[in-house]
Amino acid sequence: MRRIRYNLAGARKVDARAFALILLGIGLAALLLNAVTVFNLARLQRQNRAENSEIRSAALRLEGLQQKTLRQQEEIVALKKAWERKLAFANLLIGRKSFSFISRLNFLERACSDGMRVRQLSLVNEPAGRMQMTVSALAQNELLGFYKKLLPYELAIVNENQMTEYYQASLSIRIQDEKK
Amino acid sequence: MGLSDFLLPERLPRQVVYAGDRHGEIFTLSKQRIVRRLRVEAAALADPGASDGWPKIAERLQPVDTGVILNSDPFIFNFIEFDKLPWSRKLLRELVDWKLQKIFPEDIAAYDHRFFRLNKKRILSILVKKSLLAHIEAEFRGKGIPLITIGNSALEIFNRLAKLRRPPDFFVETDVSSCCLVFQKLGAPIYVRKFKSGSLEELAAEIGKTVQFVRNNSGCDPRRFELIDHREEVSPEELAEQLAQEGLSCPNAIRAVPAPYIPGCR
Repeated sequence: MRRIRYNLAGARKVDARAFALILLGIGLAALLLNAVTVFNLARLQRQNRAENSEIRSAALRLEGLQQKTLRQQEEIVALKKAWERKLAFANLLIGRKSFSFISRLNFLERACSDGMRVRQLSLVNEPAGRMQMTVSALAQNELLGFYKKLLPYELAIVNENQMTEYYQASLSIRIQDEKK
Repeated sequence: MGLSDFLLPERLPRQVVYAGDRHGEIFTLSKQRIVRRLRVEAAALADPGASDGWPKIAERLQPVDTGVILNSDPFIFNFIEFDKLPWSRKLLRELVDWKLQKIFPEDIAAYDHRFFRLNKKRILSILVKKSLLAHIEAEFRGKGIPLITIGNSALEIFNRLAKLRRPPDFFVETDVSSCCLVFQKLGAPIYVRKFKSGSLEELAAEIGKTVQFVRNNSGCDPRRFELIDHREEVSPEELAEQLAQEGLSCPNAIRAVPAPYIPGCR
């Protein structure tokens, strides 16, 4: 229950000491409140500053990452371009190369009999290029048999020599493009 | 107690005059203790008609801040109950004045009317004649004695009892010809009754009847009471014994305070 203050006097007087104490109390409370407010504001500001610096560093990191990504994208584009150029060149090469070395060497191996040796061979890197070779055989009839197999391929005998132990011939043939 | 009461605490008087039915008593206070007490017989300060009382008192007063505590005789107490009290003080005053005009037979303008909010629904209204206040203030002004307090003894006693850890259910304040009973519940006054007291037996019977009335109407069972007696010739123990026969006990918790009706006195 609140105190019932009942004073009917017309000339009431304020208790200066109590009033001063109340004012002091209110002032101290206000001061304390202000101090708490300032402390809280400062703490909030510190927090904000820390958060801002964190955000700034995160933004810097993000910017770095973005730049790195851009660089990497540029590198990828450059690599892609180089790769595409290489691919285009390879495709060009593939397009230009319409014959098979292996099949020509296979043909040569099948055409040679057992006693024959291919001593030198040169191939031209183009379709229908001439194959120049130097072959040796222990017997002349083996050479003749070999000539016979090569006859369909525009055989051109450059020279033929008889050595002490074998016969040697330099010749060239032209094998048409296998794809045609 | 409003904010202004809190922010602007009133200075306590250095001497207090208790204005009884047929006597006045001057209390000189120092550091909230009574250092001098002087009873002046046949000096009725509260009676403007009795012109011989005041000079007897005035010649014994010092020109320091003074208070006058009137007993409950000139006051009119009313409890007014509403469904809901408005927060606005002005609105509440209008409401209380309107209600009071309906129940009070005299012209309210002639009375100083103060009221106190007791809870969400109840108001304690106190009326006292303006002419009495003007008379007292004029007498003090005439003698050049600063009068800073005019109060009521029952309210001072009530305020003091409300501070007790276990306040009594009611208190009885008796003077030569008047008696005032104030009942309280949960620290708020619930019923006030004033009556003219006669013999001790009549007084005890009247108190018993009032207790029974409160018991029947307020839903509480008053058992413990305090007795504050301003009379010199009558022993308060006799009245306490009479009331004890009706099951009412008087612990006299307030006996340690020499004059519980004097404001600011320990």
